[in-house]
Amino acid sequence: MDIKTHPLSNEISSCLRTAQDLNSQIQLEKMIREFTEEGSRNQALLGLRVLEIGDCTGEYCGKLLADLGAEVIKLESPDGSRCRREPPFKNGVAGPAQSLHFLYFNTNKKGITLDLRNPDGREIFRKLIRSVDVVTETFAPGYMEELGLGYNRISELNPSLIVASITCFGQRGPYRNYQGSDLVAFAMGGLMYVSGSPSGPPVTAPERQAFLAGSTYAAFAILVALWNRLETGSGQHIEVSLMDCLAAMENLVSGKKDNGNYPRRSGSQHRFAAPGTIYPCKDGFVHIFVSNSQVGSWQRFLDWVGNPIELADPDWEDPIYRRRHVERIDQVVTRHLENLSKREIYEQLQERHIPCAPVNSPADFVNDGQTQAREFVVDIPHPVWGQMRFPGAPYKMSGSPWRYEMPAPSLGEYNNQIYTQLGFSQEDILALYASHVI
Amino acid sequence: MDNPAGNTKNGLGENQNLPLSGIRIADLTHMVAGPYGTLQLAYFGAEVIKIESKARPDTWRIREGNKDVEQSRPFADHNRNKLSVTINLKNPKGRELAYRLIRISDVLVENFSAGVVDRLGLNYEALKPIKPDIIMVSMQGLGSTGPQKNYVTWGPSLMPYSGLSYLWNEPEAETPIGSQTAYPDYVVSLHMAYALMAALHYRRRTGEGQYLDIAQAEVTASLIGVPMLDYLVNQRVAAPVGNGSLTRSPHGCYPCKGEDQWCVISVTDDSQWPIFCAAIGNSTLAAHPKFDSLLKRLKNRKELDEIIQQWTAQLTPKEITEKLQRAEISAGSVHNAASLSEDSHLRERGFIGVHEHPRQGQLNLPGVAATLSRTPGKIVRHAPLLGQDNQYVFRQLLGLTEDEIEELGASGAF
Repeated sequence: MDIKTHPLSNEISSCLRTAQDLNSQIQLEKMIREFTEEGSRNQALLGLRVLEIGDCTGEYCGKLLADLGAEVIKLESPDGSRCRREPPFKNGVAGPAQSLHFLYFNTNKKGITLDLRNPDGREIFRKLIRSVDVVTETFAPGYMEELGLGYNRISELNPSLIVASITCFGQRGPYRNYQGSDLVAFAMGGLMYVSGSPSGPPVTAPERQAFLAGSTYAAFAILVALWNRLETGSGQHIEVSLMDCLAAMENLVSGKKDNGNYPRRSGSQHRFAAPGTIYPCKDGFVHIFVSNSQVGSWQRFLDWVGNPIELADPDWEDPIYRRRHVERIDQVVTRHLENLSKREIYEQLQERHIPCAPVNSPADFVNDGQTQAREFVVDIPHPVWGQMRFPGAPYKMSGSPWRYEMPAPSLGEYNNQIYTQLGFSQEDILALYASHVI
Repeated sequence: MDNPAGNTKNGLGENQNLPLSGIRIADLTHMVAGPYGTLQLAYFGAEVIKIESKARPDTWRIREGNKDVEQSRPFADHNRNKLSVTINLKNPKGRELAYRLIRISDVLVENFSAGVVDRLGLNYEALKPIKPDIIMVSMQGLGSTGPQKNYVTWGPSLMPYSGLSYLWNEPEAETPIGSQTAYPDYVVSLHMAYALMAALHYRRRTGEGQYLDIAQAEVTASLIGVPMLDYLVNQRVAAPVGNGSLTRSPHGCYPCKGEDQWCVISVTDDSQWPIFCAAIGNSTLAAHPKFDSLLKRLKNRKELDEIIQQWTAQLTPKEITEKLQRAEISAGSVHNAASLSEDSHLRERGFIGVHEHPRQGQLNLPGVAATLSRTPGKIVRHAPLLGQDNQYVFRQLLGLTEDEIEELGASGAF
């Protein structure tokens, strides 16, 4: 390929012009590396190189970046990430290469091993850091500094480096050294208190939503920092706190809460909508949502349930009155749904432009006509399991689409490729294996 | 058409303080799924111009039954740093105004019901000739294609539809419970902000715009990708686990002293178990034959939780958090909106701030959820009053004269 027709040719030549300081040299090395690498060119984050370190907290951030084309190198200790042991497993049989959790969060990533507690390992890390654009890490605040690998130290080696630290409570503030977990972050962030049955304890969200929300914010913030780096050449340190990410949602901070009048648990019953919760029907459950901000939806709902005498009083036209006496509406709804199926209710209400949804299991969602028509589930080749089905693009991008290119890496699968690129010989790599550095 | 303000240089702004300054977003989104995403870009300097109309202001302004469109706190929270113009998109001259604005914008975002942008002449095919490198984002509930594309969903409907409500429950519950929150609205918006940034990077490298079709339901389904995969691979339908864990015990939510006060505790492994027992003042529990291994604790979870409850019931969530965290055990308060807003950590981090709103006075509002050390996001202005920036946009950005503006106003264009 001619350098002039390369998609990055403008940036390469501008770097050639200004390649004086260390920063530009690193940029230049990176672009030359990209230029020599084969691969499809229509990926949004082509050429972005990310090093992912740490536990399951930040895995989804790496996945978001990798799925849009970034080269994400997952660094694990030589005995392997704990995330490889996360259930569920293929065929329900636990084993080192059987974790569906690990597969879901780590496709499209390259895996290497490196022991950061070993001085030789840290030396290699310092080399590696010069060739990457972004590091994501999830260690307790201060741990990287203890290793001599804190942001201030490694940014001296690569001033354009962007480091994203993703932790439960961030790097500052009285809780910064608290032990975190998804459950604790979700509870401290305020969303758990308003989830669950009014007669029972708060219930946390399934599938570690604190990790996912925080990881998504980190991925966004990384692209903002990269945008700035294109202007200034400088990297920076991004601090993501899962608690902040959750506390910003749902107007928990901004909402009114005078005299203990803050939101409590009410199952799925929404604060304003009436009807506005999950109801039983002939063959399962449906969710119906009639809110005051949809013009005419209450009248359309009344028509649907046959304008019952119980809801005929003009008081019912007031949405605040409706919400206050929602249990009387619920009686009408429950009676009306008794002999109707999920599908019938869904279609009849949608015809009337009233938000309604069946309560789907993950299986129901996968098998839904809409999900299938949009080809959300994709077929992917797996080196051991053969062709398999996999949850695909969360967003369809016409120009730079979501990709699936490779399965989650086996432990140290890319050691040879990455360490060779760093200039290590086969003999060096063997010695590093023998001494448990990698 | 004149373009006196000039284009935004392919999104590459003047080198101002905020990293996204120079990016202009024409924002047709209303409610939460959409505005909460453009808010994130506005924090970092993107010029987000909310397009509303006097007849149809953002529904979020009147969400709580307000008659006055300037009294909504949720709106004041989600629209900081943004500008507001009123344009009547159903009026041909109004549409012309919108085209002019899009021509000098980098991005158009919309979350109307499917088909609305087609009727308004604002779909991607219509906009491409006007602004060839536009990035257009659509975020319908179920996507912009498929047999159910016209179906209406709100944030709370996405949880049941995508499988999240099914899993958001206690393990033995007989009926689905779920959450009263609109959690998908927020997290889908964060995904939109990320995907939009990726599209901006792609355009910067290639010069190409594109169309983003974000089905809110599919983003929500991606958040429970592992149970999805469990079904696709093993044909197994995952059951809810509530506050429990398949790999940790104790792991749960426990009642504390006071009315509706709760804490959460998560003990990672066998090495933490005796430390936890000592921290709750029950060292003999560590060697109890029913609980002395993770396997046994998972099996005898209910019995163990009852013992832990006897301890937690005597203390406040804060006392429990401090005691256990001192022993390096993961624990925390289940914050309600009031205790969250008073939380010393959030306060000390400067995450919760007091902001002045011209019609609502002083408001406590949350801050930016990530700190960028060199280019932190900033809150530079309150959420806009309806149409507050008409003059700036029509005159300065679009270069209209006073007469032209008057004429457009008389014809009902804004």
